[in-house]
Amino acid sequence: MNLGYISAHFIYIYLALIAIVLWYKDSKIKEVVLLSSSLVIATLLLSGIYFETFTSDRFVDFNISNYSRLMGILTLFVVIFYRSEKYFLDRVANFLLLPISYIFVTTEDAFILLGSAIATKSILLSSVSKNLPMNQLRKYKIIEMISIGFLLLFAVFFSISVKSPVFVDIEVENYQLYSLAMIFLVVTIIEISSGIFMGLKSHILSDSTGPARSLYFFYGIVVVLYKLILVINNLLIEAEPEFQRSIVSFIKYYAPINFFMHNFLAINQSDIKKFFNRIISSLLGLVLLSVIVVKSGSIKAELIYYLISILISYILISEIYDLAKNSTDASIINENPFEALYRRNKIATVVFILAVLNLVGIPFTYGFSSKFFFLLNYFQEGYIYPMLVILLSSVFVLPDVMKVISSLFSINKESMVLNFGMNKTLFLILFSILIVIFGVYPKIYF
Amino acid sequence: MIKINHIVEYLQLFFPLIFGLILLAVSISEKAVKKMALVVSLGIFALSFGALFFFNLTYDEVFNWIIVSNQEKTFDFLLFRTRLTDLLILSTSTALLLICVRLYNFSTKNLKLVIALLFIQFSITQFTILSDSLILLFSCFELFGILLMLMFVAVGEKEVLRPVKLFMFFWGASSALIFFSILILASVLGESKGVFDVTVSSIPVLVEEITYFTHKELFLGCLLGALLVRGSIFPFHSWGLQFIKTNIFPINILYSWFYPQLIFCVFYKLITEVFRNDMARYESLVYYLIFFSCLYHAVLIIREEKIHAKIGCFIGVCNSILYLLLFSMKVDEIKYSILFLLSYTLLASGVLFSENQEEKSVKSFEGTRYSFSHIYLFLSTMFFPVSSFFISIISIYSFFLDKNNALGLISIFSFLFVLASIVPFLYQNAFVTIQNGTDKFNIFVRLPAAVISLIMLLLGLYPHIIMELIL
Repeated sequence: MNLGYISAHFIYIYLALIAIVLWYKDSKIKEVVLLSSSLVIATLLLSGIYFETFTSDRFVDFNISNYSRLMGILTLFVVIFYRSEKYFLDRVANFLLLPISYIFVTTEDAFILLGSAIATKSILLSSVSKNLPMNQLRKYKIIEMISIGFLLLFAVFFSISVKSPVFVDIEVENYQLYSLAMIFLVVTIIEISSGIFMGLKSHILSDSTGPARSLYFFYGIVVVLYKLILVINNLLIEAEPEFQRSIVSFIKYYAPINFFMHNFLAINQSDIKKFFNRIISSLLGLVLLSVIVVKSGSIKAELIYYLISILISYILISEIYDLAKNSTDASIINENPFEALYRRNKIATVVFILAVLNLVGIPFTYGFSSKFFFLLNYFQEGYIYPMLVILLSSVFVLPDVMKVISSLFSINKESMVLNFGMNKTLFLILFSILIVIFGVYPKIYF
Repeated sequence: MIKINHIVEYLQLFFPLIFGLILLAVSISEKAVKKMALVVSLGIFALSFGALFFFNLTYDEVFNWIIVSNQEKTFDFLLFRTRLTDLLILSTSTALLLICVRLYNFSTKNLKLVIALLFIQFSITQFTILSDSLILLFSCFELFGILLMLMFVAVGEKEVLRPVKLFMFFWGASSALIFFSILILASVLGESKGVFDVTVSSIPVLVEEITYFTHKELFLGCLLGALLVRGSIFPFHSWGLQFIKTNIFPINILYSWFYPQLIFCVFYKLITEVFRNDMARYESLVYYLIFFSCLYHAVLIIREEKIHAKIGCFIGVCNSILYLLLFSMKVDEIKYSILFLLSYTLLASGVLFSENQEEKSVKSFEGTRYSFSHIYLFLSTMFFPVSSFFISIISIYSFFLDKNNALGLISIFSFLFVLASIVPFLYQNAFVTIQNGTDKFNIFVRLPAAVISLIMLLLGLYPHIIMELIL
């Protein structure tokens, strides 16, 4: 019984607490309780870095790594960031997603994995649905159903623990089953991270506003993706060499082509939000590459580092976009809300430029060091030509990125001063400081 | 024990950066910003002047705290200074001072932002020139481009969109290539050694370690290709030329004065070190490429109509010849190219400074005021003997003809082209200038071009100043 153990099980107490608090009618009490409990859990997670990792096999298999603690800190950021949202549902979604995503990351059981994924997705759906038009909502639901369906199939085929040592006992006749499940998982990952659905989904979500988008991105992509990549790495180690080779060679060609296609589609977008969505989709698609390195554990740190860099860029860009869009006069139909941002809010301009440079990976930003360490692994495995394709196709979008930046400095007399409020400005600055610190001195993380 | 040298080093490196950041943060009137910029740039100039002539500076002791060697995932910031780097820094700080002088009587969009970026840019240039570690060199070089572009965007109107897009495309392509070559190098190191422990001087040893033949070819090819794109010579010329063509004040001086020196420094560090052993088989290819670039730019000078576009092409020709020099020379022969570099950057930016005396609408020298510096700069474009440009060309000819007749012919050919195309135009404009000249003395407007022509005169009379400094 140590503090890490208590903090792991505090999650259940926390869930129960939320369930009780939601019965109350006084929203003031609800908020105070939720906020303070999230603060407590984040503190516990944070302090957990100094304790040894532990595994409990009493109820659910947990694997508490530094990653889950990092997730705790980031979740805290997001929770406080959206504390003053107008819709109560958005706030509750944040508080609920914290423990659920935590369970999702730490579990090693296939059914718990599935359950938490479905829970995450349904909360997201409820959060998104209030500001989406009906036809888009239907599309979104179908996409989510497909991905949940694949996950379900996976869980049925693997009605056993996902923990890798179990697979040593797999017998020869189960091999077909095994590969089928693997294929389901790969399809799920492709669907989540980089397939055509991803583009569609991000377009649909770009129509919704506020925290729903960031939530979707944060929990639906980053958390799920990380976990699934880990699971697939574990499984692939035990697989037959032929099967390994076929999966690896598929991804080796798929990832660069996908990256190229998304970048190519990005420059054809007229809408700025869709443009950035495409770039982010292309970057997320690269995550698939980490399946190639079939040494579980060797890639973990770099993968998280990479995912968080994308996350930060996404949060900053989409927040500034929303705030700028809402503040522009409704009578002026302006396609580019960033127009003349420098005149309206200087801090937002600096943060936005940093976020964009971070996204494309300019040196001295977090994005650069994360891409460097992420890609270096594959380089050392000898995948040189796919890397060349990836690097060169990332150049496509640069002119258009600069076009967006150049619009920041234009003179637009009709624009009015933007005021973000203390809360959001503080968090924008905090995130941008993170970008610079990780960019200059990445050793802090590793 | 804090020594005065250390204070000077710190001040020289970080003072412009901090000043730029402070300017970004505070809100004060434009007049005050201009005054502060003038005073600070004067101070920076004095510092770098002192660093070259009075202090004996080494960065060995000061930067120990940043160096963390033999560990993974760190960025090492190693700095290395010689007389050459000090000279280049002095030259760029002179440019900074002159730009600030000119800006005192100049109004533009987002002026405070431009001045702040200018100082940050200067600091970045210093770091690039001084850096010995590969990653610092690469990162600062990247940042230079980004800042240049941000400044371009901050000053310019809608017409800058095309140059910016072109710039970003070529710059991004070359950064991808450099990044790729660094990845190859890093993959050679493996896990045993720090990824970023690579110093520029250790690259040749590492290149030898690349056992796989195609990887070695890839590394050299990517690095060379990236440098050629950055140099904006022939197939990639258009982004460099577009910069000058738009003729926006601080940018054109940055492009004509800062940028060639920066790229010279990077070329010098990388080419003479990395390619010394492996360049032999590419040598003829590079010569042909540069030769073609020279001629192409020279022909473009005839075709272009605006004087600043002509100056842009002139920079292109001179850059190409400089790269030719770099590819064919040894380390101890650098003095030839340094004088040439200084003179042509001085000449080009002097002409651009004197052109900027008038409003933006005046696209040529017609109607501008007559002065000594105009006439002197025109004359030195025509290889007027008492000017550093003339001296440097003579020394280049002698160097080329010693080495290889073909190379000498290339340079003579392209300069003849320059002469034939630019001189009638300049003559015509110079005389128009004299006829229409009206006297309205404003020291902030006239000073930069006059100072530049005085420096050129001084170097033309005593060229051995540079030679002795370098040696």
